[in-house]
Amino acid sequence: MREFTGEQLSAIEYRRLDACVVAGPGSGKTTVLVERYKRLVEREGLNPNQILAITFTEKAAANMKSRLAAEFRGDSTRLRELERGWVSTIHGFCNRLLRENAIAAGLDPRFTMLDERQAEDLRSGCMNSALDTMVAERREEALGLIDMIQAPMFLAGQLKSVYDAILAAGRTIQEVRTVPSPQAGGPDAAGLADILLAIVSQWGDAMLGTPVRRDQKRDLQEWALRLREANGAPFLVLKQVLADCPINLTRIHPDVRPVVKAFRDDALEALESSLVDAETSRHRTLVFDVLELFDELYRRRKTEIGALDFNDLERRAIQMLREHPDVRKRVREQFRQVMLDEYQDINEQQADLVALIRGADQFFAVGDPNQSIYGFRHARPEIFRKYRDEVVGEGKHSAEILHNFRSRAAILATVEALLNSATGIDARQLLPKRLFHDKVEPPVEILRVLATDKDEAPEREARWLAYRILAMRGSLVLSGKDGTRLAEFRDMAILCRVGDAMQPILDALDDAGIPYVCGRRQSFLTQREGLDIRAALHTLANPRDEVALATVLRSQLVGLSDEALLRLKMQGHSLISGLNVVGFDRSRLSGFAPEDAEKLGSFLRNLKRWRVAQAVVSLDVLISRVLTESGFRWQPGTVKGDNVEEFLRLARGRNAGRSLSDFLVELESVEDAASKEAELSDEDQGNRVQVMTTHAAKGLEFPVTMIAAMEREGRKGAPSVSYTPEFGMGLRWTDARAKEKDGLKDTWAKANGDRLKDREEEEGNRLLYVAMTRAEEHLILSYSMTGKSVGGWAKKVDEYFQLKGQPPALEPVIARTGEFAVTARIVDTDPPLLKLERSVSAASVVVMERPEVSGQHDSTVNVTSLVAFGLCPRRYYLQRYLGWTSGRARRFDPEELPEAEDEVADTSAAELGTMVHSILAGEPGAWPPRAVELASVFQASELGLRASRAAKAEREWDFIIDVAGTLVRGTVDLWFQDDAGQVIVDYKTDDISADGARTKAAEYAPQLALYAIALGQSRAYLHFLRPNVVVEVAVGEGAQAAVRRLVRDLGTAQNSLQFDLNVGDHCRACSFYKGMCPAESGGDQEESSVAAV
Amino acid sequence: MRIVRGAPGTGKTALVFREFKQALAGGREPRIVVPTATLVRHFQHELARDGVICRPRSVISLARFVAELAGEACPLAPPALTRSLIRASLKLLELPAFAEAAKTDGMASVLEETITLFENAGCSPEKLASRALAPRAKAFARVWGAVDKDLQAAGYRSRLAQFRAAISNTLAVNGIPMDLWFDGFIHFSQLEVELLEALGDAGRVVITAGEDPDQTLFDEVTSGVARRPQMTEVAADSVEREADDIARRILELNAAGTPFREIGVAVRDTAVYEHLLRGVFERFGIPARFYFSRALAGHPAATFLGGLIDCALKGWDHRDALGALRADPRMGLSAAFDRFEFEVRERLPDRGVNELLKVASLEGMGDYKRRLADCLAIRQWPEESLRPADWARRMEQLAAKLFLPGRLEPVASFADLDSARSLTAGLRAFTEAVSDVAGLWPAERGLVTLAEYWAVAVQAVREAAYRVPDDRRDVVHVLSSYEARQWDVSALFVCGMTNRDYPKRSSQNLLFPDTEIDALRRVGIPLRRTSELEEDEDKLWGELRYRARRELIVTWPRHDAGGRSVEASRYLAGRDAVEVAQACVPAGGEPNRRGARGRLVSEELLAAVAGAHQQMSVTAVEDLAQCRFKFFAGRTLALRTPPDRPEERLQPKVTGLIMHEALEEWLKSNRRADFVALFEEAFAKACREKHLPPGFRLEVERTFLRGIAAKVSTTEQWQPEETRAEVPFELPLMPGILIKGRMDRIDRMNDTDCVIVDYKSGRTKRVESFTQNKAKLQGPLYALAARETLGLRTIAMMYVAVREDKRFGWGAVPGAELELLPMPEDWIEAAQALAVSRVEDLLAGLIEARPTEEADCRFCDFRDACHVKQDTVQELVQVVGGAHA
Repeated sequence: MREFTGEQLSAIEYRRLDACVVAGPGSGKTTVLVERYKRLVEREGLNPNQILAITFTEKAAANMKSRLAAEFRGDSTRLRELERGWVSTIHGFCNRLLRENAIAAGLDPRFTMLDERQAEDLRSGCMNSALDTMVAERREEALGLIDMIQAPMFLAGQLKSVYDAILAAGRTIQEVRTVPSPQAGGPDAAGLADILLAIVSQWGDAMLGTPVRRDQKRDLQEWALRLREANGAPFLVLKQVLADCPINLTRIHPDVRPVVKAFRDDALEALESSLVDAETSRHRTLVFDVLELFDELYRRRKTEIGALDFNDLERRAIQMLREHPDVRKRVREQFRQVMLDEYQDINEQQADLVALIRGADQFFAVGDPNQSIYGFRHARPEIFRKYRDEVVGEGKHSAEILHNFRSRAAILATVEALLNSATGIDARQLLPKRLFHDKVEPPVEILRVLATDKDEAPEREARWLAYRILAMRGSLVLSGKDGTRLAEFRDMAILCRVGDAMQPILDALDDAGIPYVCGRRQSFLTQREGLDIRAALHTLANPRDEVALATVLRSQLVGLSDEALLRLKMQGHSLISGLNVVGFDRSRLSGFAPEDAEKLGSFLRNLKRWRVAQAVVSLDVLISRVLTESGFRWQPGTVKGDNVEEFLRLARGRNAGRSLSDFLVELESVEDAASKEAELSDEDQGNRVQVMTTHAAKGLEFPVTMIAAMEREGRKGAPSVSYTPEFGMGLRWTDARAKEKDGLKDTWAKANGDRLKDREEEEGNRLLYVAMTRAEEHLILSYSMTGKSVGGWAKKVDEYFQLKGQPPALEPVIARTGEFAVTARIVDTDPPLLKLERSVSAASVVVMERPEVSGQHDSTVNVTSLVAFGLCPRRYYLQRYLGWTSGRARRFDPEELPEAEDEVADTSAAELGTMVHSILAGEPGAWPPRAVELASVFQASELGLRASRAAKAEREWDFIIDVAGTLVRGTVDLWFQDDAGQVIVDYKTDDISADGARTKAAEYAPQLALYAIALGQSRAYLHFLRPNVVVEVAVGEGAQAAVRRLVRDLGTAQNSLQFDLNVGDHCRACSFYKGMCPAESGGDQEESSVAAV
Repeated sequence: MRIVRGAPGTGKTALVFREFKQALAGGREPRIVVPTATLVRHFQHELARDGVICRPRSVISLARFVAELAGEACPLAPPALTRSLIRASLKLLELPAFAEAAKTDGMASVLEETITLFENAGCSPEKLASRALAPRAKAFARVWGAVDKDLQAAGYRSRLAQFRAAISNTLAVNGIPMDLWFDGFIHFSQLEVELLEALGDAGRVVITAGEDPDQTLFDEVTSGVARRPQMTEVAADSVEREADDIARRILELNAAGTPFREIGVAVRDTAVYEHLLRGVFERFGIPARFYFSRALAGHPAATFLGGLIDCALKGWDHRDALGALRADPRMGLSAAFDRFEFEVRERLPDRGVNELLKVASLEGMGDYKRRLADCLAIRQWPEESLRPADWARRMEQLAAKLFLPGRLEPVASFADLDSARSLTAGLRAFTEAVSDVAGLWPAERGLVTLAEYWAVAVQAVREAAYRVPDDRRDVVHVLSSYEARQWDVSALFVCGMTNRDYPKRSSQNLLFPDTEIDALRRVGIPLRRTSELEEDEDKLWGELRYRARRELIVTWPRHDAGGRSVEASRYLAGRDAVEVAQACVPAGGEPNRRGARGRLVSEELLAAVAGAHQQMSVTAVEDLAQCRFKFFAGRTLALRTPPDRPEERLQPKVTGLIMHEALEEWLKSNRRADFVALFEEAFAKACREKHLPPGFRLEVERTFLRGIAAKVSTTEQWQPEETRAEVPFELPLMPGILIKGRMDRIDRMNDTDCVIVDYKSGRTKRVESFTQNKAKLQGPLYALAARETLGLRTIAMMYVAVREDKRFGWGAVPGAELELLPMPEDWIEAAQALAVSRVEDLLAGLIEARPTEEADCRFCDFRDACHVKQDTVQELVQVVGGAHA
């Protein structure tokens, strides 16, 4: 039985009313949730179907499901119920809810989900369309907007961000459009002038003791009068007056400075923003129009393809629950318990959703406002705080789980020391609960790297981090489950505040030979393998892309020498024409060095084949084939292997049917998206250091945590187009005429700017809180600097540990503050060179020999095919083996042979033949006279009469027999048994003469021999109905042996894919003669080629 | 009627075969009925190889058996037609109960499924409509009724009607009692049970069944001894490792004597495993047959033929036309089309056939114009109205005429054979799809336009699938777990054995949730509940568990294809007994040795290089100074890049040209002309010539550049005696090498001195870097040219970064406030020496990729080809496979 703390137990067992639990880092929150879930099932008798458990990430949901499955292992009923349980992310929940209620939601019941990249591609397309439409339809207004708005080249991107933010806040464009100015109703220029005059008029002599102060008063009065006069003047005039404001606080008596300062900073700026509002109102309207048009286009496009994006999941679920009380009631009744993890990170829209689905007093929210770090995804920690206040206010259950089962006490103390008084952080004591082995050296280390060059500083810091990793690996003692152990690479993680700080670190790790895994590592598309595969694909799409062609030819896929490249070009007037020339005339290869000639020859052969294949095989199979056939091997677990497999995975994708050209376009957007950090899968990463942003580290823990590049700041300032739920959309403007470089803010932008600045600062502190609390045993706080002072998180470290001004030293110093000490390394040189020995351990990878393959002939063969093969193997190949016909295509019949129908030059003749056979098989029907006439030829014949009198007769008798290991199928037109023995008859409706019939009979001989094998001893006849000629065919042992040989020959041909050409008179009657078959020489070479080269 | 009841693997099928043979020997005409076409062939082969000479049709699928019994008067509608009719009814009826969902494709598919659900329960639309129903159910009944009526009008029958006809004909088949064995079924629907009962009354019927106590319909008979294949559980870290491990085990089995044909792989999640296994098996050299259909959408037949029709209807947008024409099996991969494509892409966006034909008439297009004309022959079709059947025929004729490759040689491998057969298989599927929907229009409807017909046909094409025939003897069978359940192999792999797929969760029917199904069951419509569907899952696993005679290997990935954690199926015993997938690679395939790089040694080639570069531009010299390979690729090989997409054309290169053109004109006018007007003219000209697409981005750029133009013309700081623009020069660099260039602007300040100005429209920061860039020789070479050709001393040379109107360079201009660097003493000589040395290297064959300024590599067109960033820096092995410690 697991032991829980009292706080944990209280959270696990509380049932009665809504609950709100603040769970600090490392407090065993998931364990609490799992245990609570388990007890709800086991003790309260709830079915998993009645519990909704929402986690923040898919990884967390998978983890929770896995732990629940482990809890119920052995109980198949519970496991079965758990499979239908509701443990997922909020998006996963919405997805299922909408699928189960798609009609109520007005959705395509088979809707698909756009991933972030697909949605972004679609959004970009729609936003560009919206903007282009604006230019096309409202050109003058659009040009005015372009002229006025700040950074119009970024407008599309910023509008998309604002759109997302609006939806996340649960608002519509229309609602935001009508949000009033945050400072509506303020004084106009005249009013402001009056205010200033009123202020100034109160300045008596005591305030004006010096000439300078008196001048100031006068200047202000004069300016106020100018301002009053300018009231209602054009924007630029007023703007100029405002710019001329003569306020100089140093010239004003200290007692009244605050009033004037407030006037300047608030009232004047407010007026300026109001003026901007008035001046730009028409442009603002246009921006909203664009947003609305974009919204419409984007929605329409998604509807057309039956797809939703992540935001739609929430939005449509809310809409459905609001509009369909019956569904809402059912959902509320279904979920007797709603448990929501990471509640501090939800946004307004999600809060609305939760409110709709939770019944009274069935809600259990867990979170930690100090760990709210997803503001960029519109998370609002206020929602959690508000809920907690409500719970407390209503006397419901509010608890805090603050024991920390993760980190050493000194690490927690450092967190408290640096952050407990920071804005955005709820001051809280973190109580260490986990037991560690004793350790002499401090578990917190500061790495302060000094440099003179700003480019050099981060690189030096990265080298120090690599140095420390190598030093700690194998020597830093960690607490293991059963005693202590030495640190491995896998125990360490490097966290960065911003992703673009990672590159120097990755470079340093590369240089030091330290294995690592990074969600934001350089995209596989830009690494060697990715580049080569991409170039190969571009070449397949169109080899006239000569840069791609040259890349492939020089790559490991071909390996041509530079001399060969030049020789190739010299064969024509360009590389591609040279390739085409050599492709047509292989003798030209003799001019190349033998090795190059061989490589080029092989590439030419393959290029042709790959280009044919690309249209019909899936892209991943194509890539794999290109690599394999180029002799390129990749090994699982290597960087090269990872790169190739990532490429294959992408190609396999879910949109497997896309064309090569679509895929190549997609690759570009993948490359763009790759600059964003991908969440690392929880796949075993092997013994590698993990490098990630702090955001990606949320929910994880590492024995050794290094927070790097702490000097880097977060985002500063608001974008040109901003949005906050409080104030709406703000815009920044520029006016070339006014030479306003920093932009003019409208009143919304001004309010947003202040709000966003505060929010950024608060979230920055929480981000550091999260980063530091990932550490279990050792924490390194690392930063670099070039000047005397440093910004970002490093500033806190510098100030708290009083490191500013301390001299660099080769040996670390112990910085002691309060009750704990840290190790501080202050360095201004590079670390000693340390490099890990290259450690390729391929031993665990098994090399499998490729098998000797035989037996690739078909299992079955049709009698007619065999006859065709006997006549001309090439014709058999084209017609029956590949399936090219000139007649109407027959439906594919999966129960029959996978072969094409008979080749006939004239479809009406084929139909006639079929009809004659039907008549003779006794099928009823209204047959045309010509068919009846031909059928009667047989019926009136001697054979026909014998058949009609025979004791036993079978018509259209199909069979399947094993001949020399191949199953042969056929249909005997007629066989009968009479006193004279068994007779086989095959009718032919070929339009031939009597003489021709005898010649033709030889072609059909194998067919009858096979019938004889199937039926046993017989006499066999061919009856050519048109000339009414009956030919007896020998079907004795000799003929049967010959046909067995033919079956074997066919198998051999199929095995070796060799189908020889048998040129003869029959060629003229063959429909392939002048097309696919090379029997007739002199065809148009280019046209007859299916490949470009 | 008898039932042979027994647990999976107890020999029920063997008993069926035995009895079948006995019946055959007794002169009767026995038949075995199985659920799938794949099983039909499998059983036929088993019997034939066993030496049984019987008619193939003795083994038959249930669907065909029913069709045969029902007779030709009851043809079943093709699925494409049924779906089209459902869509048409949904549109026509405008049922409020389905709200917005009625307009979606998914809704049609839900209705189709629901119709099947009801038909299986033996319920007709009339019967359903006669019940009291909820609004959504009522709406469904209306659609179903309408579809049923339309099907009949088109000459088809519903599956229900076909079954009913079959049931009523059970006694009439030749008057001979039938000997029937039904084998391989997991469950019989109510409709099927009715048929079985009728058959049981009319003849001898034997049915095999599992040990399900619910199936009490039949008599219990017997059971054999269950087969007990050895079961191995294998866990892999990822689907890739799982597939590799399956390949490894197959190879080991084969090496130990198990033929490939005795090995099967059962797949549930085809979206993940089909292509993955195809690729892996191909890589490891394992011959395999995949029993899966492929989507017709994206097949060349659909892309080419469907694309042409689309283009005809939409006015031949060139981008779409290129997509269609590329899939032409005759010339889509020809050199001529490659050229044609690039030519058309240069001119995008555009539309219309005349322009396409014009491009096809350009030199170098070979015979493509004739072919294109054939393809464009359908352009009149949109004007016509035909009977639907005639449209179907036309499309078939179009396919027969156009979808033919040129000369075909035998393929080199079985992989290529699959590609070659795909073409014909797809072609058939296309013609079937476009003709199947002709029945949508009632006979009295008369003529329809191409647009009307194609709107329906294209949907059928989009939803159609095709199968590539493959009948090779010794191959591993990869098939769905549903089909694999009756397969008989020595070793069977069941992959993807996760709790997502085993069991697969069934969702409730959207129109009839289980509560409503219960209500309908109570009034005699025995619809199946979700829980019953889930029970089938248990049975399926039960069947798979005993399919192999010797070995069953179940594999599962710990992480799905997206890297998310997944759990093993609860059908598996647990994780304690699992083996871990072993990482493996195929042997052989020696990697290509890298060809010699960076050096030309052949006299012939050196002579060619010398001959090709007797004249060089200044930019070429700069390229050579920056990187020898850049020069080799860009100048010697003269590699061409593909055309930019329209939205990407407005690049700095183009804006630079615009600005240069305006500057040239302005300087020619001795700076008197209105620069902004000249700029506007140049911009408009570039829009026309470069096919710059109109829109927001263009206007933003135009506005931005206009702002620059306004600044450029107002910030002149000195007054030269003479200004000349675009001044050409030729300069012998060394014997046999002439440098040719054109200076943007040269201001003669007096008789001896000049100022050289070069305008740059790139980013200001980059322009600034030119003064520090060792490879940027333009300045000193221009100064050299001024000295040697004009006899002028350069007192200042500057780059004007026009975006911000900043000047960077060397020297000083009297009277102007410029912050230029001091003119280095050996400025010209050093540049000259570098240029000479690089040219000498080139002539000596040195062409290695080694950039002078590494940072500039990102602007180089040949950065991917140069391999400066050589093969992945490190090969640090992630611990894989068994080495988890």
